[in-house]
Amino acid sequence: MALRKMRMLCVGGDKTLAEWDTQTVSPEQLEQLETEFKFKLKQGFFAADVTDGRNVLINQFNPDAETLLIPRVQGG
Amino acid sequence: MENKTEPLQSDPIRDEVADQNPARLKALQLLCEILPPPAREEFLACGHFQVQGNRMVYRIFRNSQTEIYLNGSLYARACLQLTIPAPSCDRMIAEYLILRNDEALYWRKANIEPVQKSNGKIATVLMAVLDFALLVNLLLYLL
Repeated sequence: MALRKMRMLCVGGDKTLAEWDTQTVSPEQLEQLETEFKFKLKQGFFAADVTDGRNVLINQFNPDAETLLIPRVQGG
Repeated sequence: MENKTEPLQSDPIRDEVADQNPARLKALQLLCEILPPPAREEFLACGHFQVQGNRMVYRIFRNSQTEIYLNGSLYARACLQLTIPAPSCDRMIAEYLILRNDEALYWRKANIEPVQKSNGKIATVLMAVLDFALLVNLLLYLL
């Protein structure tokens, strides 16, 4: 069993948008997760796979990955 | 690389626990979860950590601008912010992940200001000394 989360950085720290078990997650749930992921990327979020120190930016939803969504950035 | 570390003014964990700000505490925990052990230890000890880029080294601070080093010398300072009012540790996470994956993107997004080299000042002083010497030489010639 591997629990995975999709988290997002927000005003109150990070917020868990979804949590699932990679072995029991249904295709419908996966579709929902992927839709949410794509929607956030469309809004300008970056996504990173932070599973076990992997720390790579991703453009595709990976149900086996611990995903962190990062809001848009700008020069200060 | 200028490796001097200013006297530690704050202990990141102690500060967050003390002010009981859950957002900042969560951001700190997430940053510590994401950073590799050497960077995490550096951050917990000094309040900043370093990321090695292609040619540059980036020193990411909690409460001030990121310093960019080239061949060991401070080359520029960078400012990158999240578009939401998030804790500074969240901004550090974003900087770390972008630098680690796409340094060019960091340079496109961040506001980067080169540090004025002190070599310029030395050259100015030398020119002033030379000008003065020439002036003295001219005065001696005329007198």
